[in-house]
Amino acid sequence: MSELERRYRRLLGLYPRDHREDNGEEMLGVLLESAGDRRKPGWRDSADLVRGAVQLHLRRVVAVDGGVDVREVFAVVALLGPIAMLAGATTALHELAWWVRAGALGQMPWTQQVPDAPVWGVWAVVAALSVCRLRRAAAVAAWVGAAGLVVLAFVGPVWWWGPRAGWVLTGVLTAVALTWAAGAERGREQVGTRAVLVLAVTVLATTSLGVLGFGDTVAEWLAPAVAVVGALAACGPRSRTGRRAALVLLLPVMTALLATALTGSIRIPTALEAVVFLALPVVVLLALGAMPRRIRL
Amino acid sequence: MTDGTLREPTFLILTALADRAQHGYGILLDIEKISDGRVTLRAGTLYAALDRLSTAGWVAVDREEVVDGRLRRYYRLTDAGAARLAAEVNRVRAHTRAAETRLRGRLAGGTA
Repeated sequence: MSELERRYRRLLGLYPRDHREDNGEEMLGVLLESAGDRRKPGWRDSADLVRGAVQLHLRRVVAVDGGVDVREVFAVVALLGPIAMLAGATTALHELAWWVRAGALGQMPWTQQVPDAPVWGVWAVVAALSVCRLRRAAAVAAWVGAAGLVVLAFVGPVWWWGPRAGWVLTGVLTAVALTWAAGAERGREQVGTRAVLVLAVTVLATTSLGVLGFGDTVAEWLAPAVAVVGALAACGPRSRTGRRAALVLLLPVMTALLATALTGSIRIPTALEAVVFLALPVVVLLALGAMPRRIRL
Repeated sequence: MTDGTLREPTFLILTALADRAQHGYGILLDIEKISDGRVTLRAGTLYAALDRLSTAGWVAVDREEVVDGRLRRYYRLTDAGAARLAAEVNRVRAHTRAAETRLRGRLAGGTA
């Protein structure tokens, strides 16, 4: 191996592994053909290779210049979003459990204690319709559920709370996915039926932790950790599409963690709360290529 | 979404592949020729662009050959890529025509 080839190989080593495996030898051939009688890579070639490597790494990590088909992301969301949304009922279920344990279910002021219960009921219907592969009906119900969350967030003062913005976002994006994306069937082709089971178990686990471990610090941290691991396992942690679909499903965790991070450090005016908790996750989704955006090629 | 005007390297790569499939080194040489030596693309830029264009579905691998023990992969323009290039050509042509008309008007009117 010549010194030139050795140096080019070292530069090509900077590229993402999949690109190196697919194109490394081919690029090396092009570089050696272009080199003429040069014995070492020129600085322009070296800088160009380093820049190309950085670009491709950025594409893979944050989809900075595209590279992720949003339709595929939304197909997975169409399949798994309705199930992920069921975890939103955790607080309402905890309240319900408390009144049941107190033996006073009949005296419970429903509209004050669980104003969001009807909305989660709608999402349960969405999940059932989606599992039964009734896409159109599921889409219509999802819009009703999403509208319910928006009403709760902005009209019902009892329910709105910044960390819950994630449920509004995931709800709306699930409705969008069921309406316009390739559909849950395409999502099933990508992640398989096993993903539905994995996510259902995850939702059951996080809901149980939320209901039974309410007030327990370990349970309160374990629930989001289980949600992250479960969503990634269901969507496919090795796939760029899967990681982004998981991110959409995990928006409620994201906003809850954001609220925890901000608590005590910044006092956000109530008027700005919705903007911060709704806009920031959307910016993250856009930056990571999980939402449609215009890209110049 | 992939929209708006094309970057110059993208335009030149699509142009190089418009009438025939070419391998990487062939594309680099052709781009120099197409641009009258004004644009010299390098391998890093070319393969980063090919990666993007393949993902967008505008370029696809046509065939592979082994020449002198090295892999040579030929790329071709897809129908979607050809449509996008044609749209860009029409866009540039319309702008060029407008510019020509106005320049002619300027010369005829003697505007300084």
